[in-house]
Amino acid sequence: MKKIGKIFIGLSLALLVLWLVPWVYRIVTLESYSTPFTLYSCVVHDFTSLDRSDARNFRFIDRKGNVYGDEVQPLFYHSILASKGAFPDSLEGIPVTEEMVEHNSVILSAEPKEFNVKKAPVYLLMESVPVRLELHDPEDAFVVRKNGLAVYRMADNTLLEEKTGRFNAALSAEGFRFPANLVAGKPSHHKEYDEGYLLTDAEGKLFHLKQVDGEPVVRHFPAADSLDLRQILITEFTNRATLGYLVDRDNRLHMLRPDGTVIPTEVRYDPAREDLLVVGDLFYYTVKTSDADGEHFFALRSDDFSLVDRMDRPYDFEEEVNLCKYVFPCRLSFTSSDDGWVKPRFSDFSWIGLVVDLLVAVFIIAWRWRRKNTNN
Amino acid sequence: MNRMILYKEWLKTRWFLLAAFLVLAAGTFYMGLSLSKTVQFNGADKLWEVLVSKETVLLETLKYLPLAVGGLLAVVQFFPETARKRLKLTLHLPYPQGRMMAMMYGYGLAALTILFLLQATVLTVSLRHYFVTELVVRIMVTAAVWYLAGYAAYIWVAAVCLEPTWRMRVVVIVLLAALVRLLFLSGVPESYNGILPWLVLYVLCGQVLIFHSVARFKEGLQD
Amino acid sequence: MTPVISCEHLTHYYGKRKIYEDLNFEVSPGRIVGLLGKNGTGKTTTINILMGYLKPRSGVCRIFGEEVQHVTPATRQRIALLLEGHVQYSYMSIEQIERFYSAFYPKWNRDAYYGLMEKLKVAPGQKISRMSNGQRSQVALGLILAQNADLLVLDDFSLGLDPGYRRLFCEYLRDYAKAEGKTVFLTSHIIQDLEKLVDEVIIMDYGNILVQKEAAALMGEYPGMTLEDIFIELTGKY
Repeated sequence: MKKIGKIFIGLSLALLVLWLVPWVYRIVTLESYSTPFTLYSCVVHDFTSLDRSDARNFRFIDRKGNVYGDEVQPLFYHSILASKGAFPDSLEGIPVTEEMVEHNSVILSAEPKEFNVKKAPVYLLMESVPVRLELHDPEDAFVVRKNGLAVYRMADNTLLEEKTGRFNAALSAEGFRFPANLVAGKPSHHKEYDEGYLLTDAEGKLFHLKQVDGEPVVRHFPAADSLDLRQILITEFTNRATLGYLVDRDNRLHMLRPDGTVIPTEVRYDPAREDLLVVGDLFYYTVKTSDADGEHFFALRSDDFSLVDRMDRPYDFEEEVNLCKYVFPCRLSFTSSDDGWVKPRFSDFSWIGLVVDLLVAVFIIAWRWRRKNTNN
Repeated sequence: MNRMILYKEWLKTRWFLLAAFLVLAAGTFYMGLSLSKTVQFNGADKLWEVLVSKETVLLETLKYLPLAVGGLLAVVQFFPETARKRLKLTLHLPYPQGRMMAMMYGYGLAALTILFLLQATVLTVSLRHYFVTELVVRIMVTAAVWYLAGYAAYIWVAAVCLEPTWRMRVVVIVLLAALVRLLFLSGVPESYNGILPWLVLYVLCGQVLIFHSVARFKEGLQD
Repeated sequence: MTPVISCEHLTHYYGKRKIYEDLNFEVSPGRIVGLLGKNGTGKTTTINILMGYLKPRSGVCRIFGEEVQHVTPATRQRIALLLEGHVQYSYMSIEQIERFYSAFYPKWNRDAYYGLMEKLKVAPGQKISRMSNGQRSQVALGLILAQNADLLVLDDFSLGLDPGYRRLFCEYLRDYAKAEGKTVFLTSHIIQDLEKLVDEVIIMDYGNILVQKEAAALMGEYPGMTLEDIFIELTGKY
């Protein structure tokens, strides 16, 4: 048992060292790195990046190296330009007002950690058309179960059987096959309106569910049936241009319009690995996806989401000398900024580290054997 | 003989177990009171909202209690065995030594299980009053790691108490610190779902440390 | 006759410090053998090796024919052990400790234990931790007598005891051992106690055994000297 204990302690210490030493090294040597804010400009029809080298002046630089002020992004900085009296009367040949600009501004961001966690199958049910127009806190919630939804009154944790029956009947009437698979929604009263939830059924078909006057309103979107969706993001923008964004198994991003049409885009986005930032205006959407290697920008037309331009920007920081590679065969970590799981992750494999460790192990064994023989 | 072994452990630990029961009960009662006051003033729906949208399970106040109970039980049970090398008396008893140690720490594990099960049951019943089954399961599955920390602390601290040399005690303490760090690394609910069975296995395998310490004691290793 | 205790070629070091080398001795059945030596000569080390709490660098010891590192529970039932300082489960009371130990020894003699306890004049529920050294030694003595073991091993039984308790202990022990034909192996740093107690002495010096002889024969070789005087003579003054 002493030998087994020694092995247990030895293995545990080895894992501990693989975990903690590289972690400490990274903390000590970590340097911050940031990328410039980049948007597609409707003025110069190119991607322009904010240059922060001069803290006093706002400078944007396009891909050709041309330098501009904030007038190159009139829709994003419309308030500032308007206050200076510099907001243009028209853009892209169309007269524009501040109201139009504000109405059509969209921002959406998503990171992998939002999707790579275990969520409770409980969803708050807002009243999408409140009596006094102002959204209020939800009183009910529905639970996704194998045979259907179950609607509960949260105040006293009571199953609302009759309401449950109505919701399940409404879903079944539209062809919904239980249990629900993906469910996406933003149940918060910190928004202008509520569109309830987009959800897929057991066969992967896409449905829209919301509560209006306490009654379920369900729609099926046949246009999305063939997509084999892996992720849904509900949008709820002021301009209601889209109902949601859909990501299929090939990581293609599709725009779902409120009328049920699905528009495929050229954007490739892996929600499990990449951050997403969408900044949209009256004319163009700048879609940025970013992962460990770099950033990918897509400029889409706002009206039909067709691709206008794209740009890839790999990170250009110099990889610092990683001393741990010369000492350890790999690095062990248990968490990631991309997900909410605690699990062992081995990375940064190094043959040099493996050889060094093997040599050290052989040396220690030989030294102990020699010491044991000398004592005897 | 088995009865007497358990009797000996009972004599050592009875007052501590009572104190641990009272502390766990007080913590559970406090949690229940907090919840009911929150429900009274803000409504249960606010708590549902928090559970669904935030990274919390509402019981975070209780999270380190099992760890403390486990570690302290090991001290109460095993420190008297090693003070003045009293372990020699225990090992000299005409009873298989391995089985003796297994019964001793088996008693501790059983005592912890009873305490933790009692608390978990009361919590589950109380939570079920306010929340749907799926949310209660989420909370208790998240809390499972905290209870595992209690078992880990018990086993590892027992090994520290039984270990005759300070050098190895430090090694085992370092391993325990790392294990506890791992068990409390993430506060995201259900983040340990995948790794939990492996962690349970690792903690249970940690029992070899107890036998390892006793074997080293029997060899006469000392500082 | 098979010796109860035998040690062959026993060698032990603490680090680089030699305790003894190639030590050999035996204890025959029915004998009371005292292991004497200055501090640090390896008395407690020997007890620890015999009881399986210390692995010697080399050599073999046997008790009742079994190697000491692998003594079976059935054989341990035949050995009563008194640890240095009369260490006991001090969180127990007199009654609790008797109840505990009696379950392990089928030949348990309750009367032997409580006979001694009557002399203690302590409350039955009093914890051993709240007793004096002398009272604790009586509890320990009562426990080893009650076990009815074939071999009694006592490590420095007189540590911390006043002369009254030491005499009581020695008298009880000798009477019991001779009446029941028990084998006793003991150590003590108070040599004068052993004179009337032991049949045989083993005197250790640093690294080896100086003498292993019948106590009477040894004292016969040094007429007019006490055992303590002989011990000092053989081991040299400090």
